[in-house]
Amino acid sequence: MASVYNWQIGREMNYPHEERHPQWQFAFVFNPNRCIGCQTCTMACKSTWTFSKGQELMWWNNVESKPYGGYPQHWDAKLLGMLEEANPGGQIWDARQRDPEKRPYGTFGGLTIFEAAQKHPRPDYGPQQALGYLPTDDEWRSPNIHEDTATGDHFQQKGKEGYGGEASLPEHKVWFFHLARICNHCTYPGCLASCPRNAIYKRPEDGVVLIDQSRCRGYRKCVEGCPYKKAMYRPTTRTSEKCIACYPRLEGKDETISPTGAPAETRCMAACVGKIRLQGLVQIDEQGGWVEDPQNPLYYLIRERQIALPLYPQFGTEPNGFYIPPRWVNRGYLTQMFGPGVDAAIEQYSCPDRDLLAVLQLFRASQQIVFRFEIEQGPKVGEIEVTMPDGTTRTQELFNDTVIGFNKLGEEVVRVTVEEPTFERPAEQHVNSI
Amino acid sequence: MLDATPKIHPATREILPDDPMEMTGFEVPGDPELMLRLLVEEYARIGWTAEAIMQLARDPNFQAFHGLWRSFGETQLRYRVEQVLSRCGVMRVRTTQAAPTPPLVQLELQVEGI
Repeated sequence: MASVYNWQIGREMNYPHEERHPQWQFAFVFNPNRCIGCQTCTMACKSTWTFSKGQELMWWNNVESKPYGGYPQHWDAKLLGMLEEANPGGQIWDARQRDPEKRPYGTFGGLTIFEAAQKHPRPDYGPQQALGYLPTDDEWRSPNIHEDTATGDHFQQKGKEGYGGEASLPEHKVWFFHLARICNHCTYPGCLASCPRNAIYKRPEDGVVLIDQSRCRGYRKCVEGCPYKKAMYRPTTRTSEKCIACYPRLEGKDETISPTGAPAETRCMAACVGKIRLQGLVQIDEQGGWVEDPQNPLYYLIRERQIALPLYPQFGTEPNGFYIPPRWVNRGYLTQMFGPGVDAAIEQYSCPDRDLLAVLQLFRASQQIVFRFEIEQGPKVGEIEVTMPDGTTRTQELFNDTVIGFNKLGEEVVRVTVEEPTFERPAEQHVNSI
Repeated sequence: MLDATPKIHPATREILPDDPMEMTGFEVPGDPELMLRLLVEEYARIGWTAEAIMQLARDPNFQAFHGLWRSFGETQLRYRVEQVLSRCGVMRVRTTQAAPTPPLVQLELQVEGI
């Protein structure tokens, strides 16, 4: 095992391969606060890449409703349980000593999936480079089953007559959110570490993780080793497949969207009707750190402002998918899912300042990847009252600012201007109503 | 040899605790009012009006908001949505996408006899 640095857990960790990094890294920010779970992204991906025989149960992009949903079922709860079993009570963060560059979320003191496999091997799973499990066929079969129809105490009391036909199952009235997921194209991928044939690699130009179909022999160790369960087995070819980050679009090969050859966003990003997605490429230095670039919208949101957080950073793969935590959700649950940066992220997002508000307008503003933004400041146009996470309200100032997005070639692709808000007052407040 | 498995209709048979297709869960405590306020503010940020938000709420395919609609009812939910919007307003933005530059076409010069 080599020792590599993982900035998301704030320390060195063991990884089966030596540290090597791409020049650019594919990364994205999702905003579950506004995801309505319409599955347009899911179908955009499905109709582009996984519509063939043998791929029927394969969803490279899926949207699951937390806390009950999961594709495959219970993927995260199962792995969290296995890690807890390997290191009882030890999977904890020390968020006291943070460093914006090296340890933005503090230090994770527990075991990553690589360390857990090394220190606490599971004989029942055979030799493993990364702690994981192989989901059953049933768990893959129904991506959205039982997401809000859990059987619990209520069902036990109601018995069978409450089941079938008119459902009268209990449902949680709050605290669920739609979690859109694709491959995180991790810096230290669990799938890559687990492959006994070295069939998986990261592209040096953009960090996209791919499976070489000619080398793959379908051992499914990648399916077992990916903690996010985003490598999937295809029985008709007897190989594993996974999200390819729509790399022809990343390469600017789509002439309709990118006539000048500038990189374009993936299909799932471009199809999002809820404007929850922003995807791009960030520059990586030789040590694996992100090159400081505060005018890159991803760098700004993830590293500068830290309002977008990695999904289960404690797994240790350094995922490159980041999420703005949903504001109404139980904090303990969110901290387990996104690490200790949750409180600060929600605080900022609830009442964004003028720069942050401007950058947030870039979500789904263009199909071309925005590599750089500029903000043209305008006059103040209003004040609105927004709700903070604790239920109190705060006044947010709105400015007539314009954010301008530029592509990789430095060409302007989009500009979005914040205008004066409109107010719809309830009928009883109309003083002059007849 | 007789099949000893009793024939029971799937809708009436007992649920096995280890059946992976059966979810066992419990209702999570929380404040639906807070969730509603935050969701409405979120959609107001992308320019949705009260009517647009109510349309989303009526659609059972959009579970989070539809759950609130069932919980509060049409009238009460609309009242609450309007209350929030009267406070936070509906954000408006103007988006201008740069027209893609048409690709240059190289015309081949074909003059015979030169």
